Amino acid sequence: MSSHPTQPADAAVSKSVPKPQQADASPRSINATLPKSELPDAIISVRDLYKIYRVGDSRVHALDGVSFDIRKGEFCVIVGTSGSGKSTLLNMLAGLEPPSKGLILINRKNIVGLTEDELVDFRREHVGFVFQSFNLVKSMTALENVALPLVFRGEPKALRMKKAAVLLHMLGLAKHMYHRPSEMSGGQQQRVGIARALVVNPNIIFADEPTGNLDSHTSTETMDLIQEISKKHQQTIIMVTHDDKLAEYGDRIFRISDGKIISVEKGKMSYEARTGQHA
Amino acid sequence: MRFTDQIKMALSSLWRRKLRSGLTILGVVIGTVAIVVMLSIGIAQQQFMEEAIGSSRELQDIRVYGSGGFFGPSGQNDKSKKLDDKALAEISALPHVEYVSPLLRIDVAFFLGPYENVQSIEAYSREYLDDLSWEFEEGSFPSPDEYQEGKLPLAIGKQFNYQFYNTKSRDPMRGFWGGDPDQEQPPPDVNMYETPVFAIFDTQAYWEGKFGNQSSDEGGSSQPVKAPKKFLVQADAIIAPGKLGYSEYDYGIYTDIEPAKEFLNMVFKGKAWPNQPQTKSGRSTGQIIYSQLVVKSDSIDETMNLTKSIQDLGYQANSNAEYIQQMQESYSRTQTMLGGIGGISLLVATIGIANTMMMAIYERTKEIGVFKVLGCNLKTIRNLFLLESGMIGLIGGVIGLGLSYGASYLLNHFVGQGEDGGGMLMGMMGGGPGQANSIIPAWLALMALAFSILIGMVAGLLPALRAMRLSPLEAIRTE
Repeated sequence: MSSHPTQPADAAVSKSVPKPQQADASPRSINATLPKSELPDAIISVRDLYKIYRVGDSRVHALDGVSFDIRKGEFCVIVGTSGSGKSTLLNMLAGLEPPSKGLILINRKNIVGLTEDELVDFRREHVGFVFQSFNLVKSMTALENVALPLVFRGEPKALRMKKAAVLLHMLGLAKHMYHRPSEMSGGQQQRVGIARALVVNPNIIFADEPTGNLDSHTSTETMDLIQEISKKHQQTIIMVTHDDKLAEYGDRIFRISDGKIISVEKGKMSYEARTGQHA
Repeated sequence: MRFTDQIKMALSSLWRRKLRSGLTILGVVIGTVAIVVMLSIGIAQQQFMEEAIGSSRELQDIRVYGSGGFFGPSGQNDKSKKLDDKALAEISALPHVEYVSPLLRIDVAFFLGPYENVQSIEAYSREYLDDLSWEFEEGSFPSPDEYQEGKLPLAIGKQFNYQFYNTKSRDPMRGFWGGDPDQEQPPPDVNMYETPVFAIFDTQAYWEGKFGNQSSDEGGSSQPVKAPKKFLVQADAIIAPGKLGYSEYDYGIYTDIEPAKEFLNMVFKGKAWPNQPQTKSGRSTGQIIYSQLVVKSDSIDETMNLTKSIQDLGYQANSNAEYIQQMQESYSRTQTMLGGIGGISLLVATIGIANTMMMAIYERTKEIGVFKVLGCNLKTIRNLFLLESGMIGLIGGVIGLGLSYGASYLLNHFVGQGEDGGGMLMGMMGGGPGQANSIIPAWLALMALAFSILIGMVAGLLPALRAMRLSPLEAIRTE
């Protein structure tokens, strides 16, 4: 019923919001039409990103024309209240959810309009994930969990176990390598999650409320760890949080409200601010 | 993702839910046992039938009858064709004929002391006799160079001697219908292999001498009939029954038709042989009417067509091939029915697998989502679940097959092997003594395995596709 063509609301949606396929009609010409990037070494460029949900007859703009660029090695935090559209933005950057309209260029390649298979390939090769609820496989040990993305890459067992073990050592989890998630604390589990994101040596790590299930002390530790990784490995990290204090760890903070970026700030607790060093 | 990793992951998923996997596998085990054991019984029956009917060579034989059918040539029906040498030549000229052997039945009364036995010697061509490739329990059938003039080369069946009956006994007919060893009658003191017996070939004269000539009785005068001439004959060999313990030759007596003709000429000295065409003065016309012709086709596949061609020439003809085809149709119906019973249990097992896999996907929705986010191919996810369900089928199939071999062993060793031979099961199914109740050939074992894997995969297909299509975002949000 709701998709009946005579309904005015539908007509309005289809006029004002071109479908993603239309936006993606000529992917090879995107670079030509793209407005000049503010940052020449941008690893992520987002232009005019919209996400419109239809709830009954009304339209909800989860994202309402968002554009920004992120430089390689930058630690960016997207902060906003619940329902501000921050998680939607992250999901779109990670190719988990298609936008209604707009461009997302990662390594100068548009990921909007890719098939699910291509998106899976994209995530496997370029992206690491850190989840709020860790999302470790309960039946696997810490080592096996960290090695899991390498399994999907078809790496031989000896090699992936070695890589995973190195990372677990680095994150101070050497003692817990053969523990299952249920035998570890929340902070330890999240460090396993971070190791799992790092193991594929990704271009970008997406972190969705990584400290959401942790106590404040562990949260601080985890944020320190993420910041350190970002600087030590020149790792691009995009983190989503609702917590203003945690957001201050980022090099840049995108404050988002009602689907729009309302401000871009520098983090007071950023690596640069804390150490005085230029990243 | 490497295939070995996929297999390991599927196995570990099964191991994680031991009880549920075990119960699902049990379903497959029961289904496999049901279908394999049912089919093995059907196969045993069919094999029994094939062995009972004989070697495949016999499927190439076609029996051609004269107008009188089984009861010998009458020569009085003009419509039918006589089975003489002309007929033999006519049939030999047909395509796909390897050879044609005549069958001449020679009625003979054998006797020794009080024992008597009236039989027909079956005379075939040497070619046919060689083709039967008899094994002999005693002696051997002489080769053509060893034939002696005035002596009939003879091979008898194992039970032939038992058909001698004692004419002085109170019940002279006892044992006449064949020496059934089960009747525990003492064997007559006649052994045609060890010692020669008397034979009368002029059976008409023999019966007249024995019971008196009816026409002469009516005439009131009891003229003494001239006693027919007796000949001494001895068997050269006893045909061994096959591995079944009995054969169709057990009660027969056989010879080569060429020496038999010479022998009969010697016996009747130009007079017509019994039941053969004769001139008005009772002399032989020289023409021999055979009881049957045995035609061998050059291949089993041609037997039916050749039978038809012979019938088209105006002869009565039939072959075992026809009979066996009907039997096989009937057995394959039985097998289909038995297989159907097994199939139902396997169908139930399939539903069990589908249910288990569906549950597994609900349970592991979040895990599937994580896999997808971490870059696991959609096809790999599908394959993981297909492997898992295929493995349920395979494990169930292997265990089921093992149990089937066990059940088959029990059926063969403890069921239907009573002292009376064919037991309850084979009695019901129409088998005989010493016969396997259940046979699992290699093809059945392989087919059962392949089929159990297949049903596992088929049952897992829908759940696997469902897993493949799960939205990763929704999946990781699932708690």
